[in-house]
Amino acid sequence: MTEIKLKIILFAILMVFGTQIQAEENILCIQKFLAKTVFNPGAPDGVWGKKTETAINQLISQANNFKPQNIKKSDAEDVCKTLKGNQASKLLEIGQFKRFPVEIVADIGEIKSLTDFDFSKIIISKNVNYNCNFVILHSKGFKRASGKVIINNGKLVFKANGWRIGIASKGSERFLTEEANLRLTQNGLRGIMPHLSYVGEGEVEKPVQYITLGGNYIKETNSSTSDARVAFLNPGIIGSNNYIDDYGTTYTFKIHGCS
Amino acid sequence: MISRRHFLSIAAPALALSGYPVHGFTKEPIEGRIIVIMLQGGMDGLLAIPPIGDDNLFKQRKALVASNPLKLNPLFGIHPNFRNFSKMLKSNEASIVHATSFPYTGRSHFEGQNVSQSGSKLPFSTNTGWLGRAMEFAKITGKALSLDAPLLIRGAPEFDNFYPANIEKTRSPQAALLDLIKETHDGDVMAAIDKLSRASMSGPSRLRARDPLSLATKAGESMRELNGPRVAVLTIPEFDDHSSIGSTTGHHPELFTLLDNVFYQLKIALKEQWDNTIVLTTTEFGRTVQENGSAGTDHGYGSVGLLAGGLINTSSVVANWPGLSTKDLYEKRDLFATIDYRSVCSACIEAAFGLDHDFIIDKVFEDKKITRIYEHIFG
Repeated sequence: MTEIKLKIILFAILMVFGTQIQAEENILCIQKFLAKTVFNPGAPDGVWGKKTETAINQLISQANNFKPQNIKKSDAEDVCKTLKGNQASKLLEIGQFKRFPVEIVADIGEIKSLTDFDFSKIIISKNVNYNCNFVILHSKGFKRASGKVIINNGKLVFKANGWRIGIASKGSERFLTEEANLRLTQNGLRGIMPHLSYVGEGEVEKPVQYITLGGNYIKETNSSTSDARVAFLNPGIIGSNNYIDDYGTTYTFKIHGCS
Repeated sequence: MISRRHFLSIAAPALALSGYPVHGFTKEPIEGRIIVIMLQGGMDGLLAIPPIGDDNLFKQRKALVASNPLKLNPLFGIHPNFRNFSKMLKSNEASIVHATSFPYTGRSHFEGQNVSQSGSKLPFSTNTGWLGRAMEFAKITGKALSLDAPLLIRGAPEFDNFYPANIEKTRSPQAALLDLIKETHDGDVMAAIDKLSRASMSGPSRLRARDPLSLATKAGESMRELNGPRVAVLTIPEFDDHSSIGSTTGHHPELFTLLDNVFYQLKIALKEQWDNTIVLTTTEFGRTVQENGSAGTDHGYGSVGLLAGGLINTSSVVANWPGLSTKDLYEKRDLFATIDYRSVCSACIEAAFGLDHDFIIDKVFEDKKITRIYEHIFG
């Protein structure tokens, strides 16, 4: 009777500790694998600690394109089998470098753009709404660009713009439409706009320049204009701005023909 | 008077195109394209991609962190001047490799640039470049014009070169000089290119063809053609900011804007071929973690690599981050490079030219210890 009891006790001990030994071997298997990667499991001691859990979850997550994982101690046997299976070499390769997913939360629009301009201290002519034409003139009188612009509550919205810039004109017409950031104020145009330079045959196009407007404003008064419509506008609103590009050439941005 | 912005845009950039497929020689058209942007002088990777989640960043270089970096994830941010590159990151067209370098721990520009172009561990140990050798093994060859070539693509049988510019349809007085330099220098590549730069800086007519944005446009337009070149090399100099490097604004940030616009211009000019392209930056070394007495940084070790193109599927920052506490730094002063940048170059060759990793590290780099990083960038 005593012998039977002893056998039962021994069997129970083997069941408990045998399973535990097996569990420790599975954890050790995981830790030894992780030790060959950059995912640090801590000392390989066969104990399922926080470091081991974090490391194996990070590795498997990275292998699955950052899909969150929830691997626990109870999964150790299955994980160990995986690490010894035909995916082992792939996982080892993946484990050589850490990937940090890009999680840009800010709106890209919040990033300062090339035509961002601080209008906060400038009084914009908000009640001005007209359909106008514009022209950009070279100092020698060449028409560099022209088109249509809507003044919408003081903001210049380009509906069409064509540039005469030689070989580089191909495909460049969208710049003002997409990027210009101009406002009409009591003191003239303000803001930043792209400017395209003329390029002769055999030359390479010049990069787009970003011009800040705001100085050299030429007012077109009631008396100085032949445009009848302008006579109805507040003096000082419609006119032209001179600017100098990076190559030292003066241009005039002029609004005209409003209706 | 020339403005600083204008000067930056024209200061001795260069473009070399290579790899025209030849009818009857290349069995199948090689679709992949590689564009290397060499950032000469040593880019400050910590200013470009600040590890904002590492508290030691602010302890080590408080004045050299942009006030408004865009947060990429809990550990890394990006300088706000990388506006276009950030958009590419958001649309899974770009990735970053941080704490990386070519295997060069010295402080010499000449040696560092030679290692970054040759792909060898020892400077001046070979006369060919890793990209040129890769092209040769991928059988990407063809006819081209040549004035001079950066070491990087030497090894490719033929190439077309727009440095300083052959597109004005004239044989400039410098062309003879270039030929002479090509014939006479043997390994001292950067010294030759320096001479080239100085020679070609004379005369305003040369400026137009040599700004990086124009060259990027030219490269993209050429490479988008069906039978166009498969490889381009652009250089942007002036990164060697020992003084007044800048933080939110300043000289390095201005260069970031320029680099950012080059990425954008390449994408626009390549059009649909952007999907088959990988653009990667290289630089000879990083810069010291702490600022020096002149509000700049000195030659260092680890830096950062920026990659963009349609061959990327998922954006990420790849880094085995070494930390920025003084004990974690290389020689207690530099960001430790924990990734051999040749792994990145190998992955780009694999993605664009279809060569096997083991073949690349054996034949192109002759170093079988280079680890495969393809899955991390292109997977």
